[in-house]
Amino acid sequence: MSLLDMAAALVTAVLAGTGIGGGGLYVIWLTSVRSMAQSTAQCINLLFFLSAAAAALPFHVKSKRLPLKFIIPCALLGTVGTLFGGNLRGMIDENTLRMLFGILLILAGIRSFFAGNRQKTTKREDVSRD
Amino acid sequence: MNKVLLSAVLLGTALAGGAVNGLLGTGGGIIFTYFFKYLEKRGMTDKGSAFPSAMAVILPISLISFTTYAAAWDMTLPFILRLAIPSAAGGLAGAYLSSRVKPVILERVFSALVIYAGARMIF
Repeated sequence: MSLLDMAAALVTAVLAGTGIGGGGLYVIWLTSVRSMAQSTAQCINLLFFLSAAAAALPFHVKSKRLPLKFIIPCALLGTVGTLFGGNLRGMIDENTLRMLFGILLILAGIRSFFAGNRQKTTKREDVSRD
Repeated sequence: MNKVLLSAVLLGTALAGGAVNGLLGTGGGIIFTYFFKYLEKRGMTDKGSAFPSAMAVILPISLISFTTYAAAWDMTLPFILRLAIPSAAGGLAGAYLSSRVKPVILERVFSALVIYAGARMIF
C-alpha cells in the first residue's frame, strides 16, 4: 500500500462519509490505476468502507432515534444474504464480476445524480414558499 | 401499512442488500437506504434517520462479507492499519462536512464519474 493509495483512500472516504458515495470509487482506483483483480479490490474496498463508515456513523446518528425494530432484522437477514452472495462470487469469473460491478456503478451513479436534482428542487420550493 | 407486506418488503430488501454486498463488496447500502427512506416517507421512522439506519445495517453485514473475502487472503496488520487510518480519518471528515455543506455540485461530478467508470467496466 503506497502513499498514493492511502491518499486515494482518504479522499474517497471523505465522499463515503458525507453519504454521497465513495466505496465504488475506491474499487475503480484499485482496478484501473493499480490494476488489481476485481475480487481483491472488492476485499480491500470492504476494509476501506468498514473503517470509513464506522468513523462516520456516530456523527450521523447524533440525536437521531434509530429504528432498531427494523435495523436488527435487516442486519440478521442481510447476513444470510451476504453469505449467499459470497458463495455466488466464488462461482463467477473475474470478467463477469467486473461487468456486474459496472452495472451497479451505473445504477448508483444515476440514482445519485437524480438524488442531487431532487434536493435542489426541494430547496427551491422551500425558498419560493418563504 | 399491512404487517405481512412490510415483512415481505423487509425480507426481500435485507436478502437482496446482503447478497449484493456479498457478491460485489459494495452496493448493499443503496438498497437499505431506499428501504429506510420508504419507511420514513410513511412516517414509520424519524425524519433524517434513513441514512444512519442504512449505515447501521450495512456495517455488520460488511464485516461478515469482509471475513468471507479475507479468509482467502493473507492480510497483514501493517497493511490493515495503513488503509484503515486514512479511511477512518476521511470518513470522519466527510461526516463532519455533511452537516455543514450540501455538496450538490460534488454529487453531480461524482455521479458522472461513477457512470463513466461503470460504462468502462462493461465495454
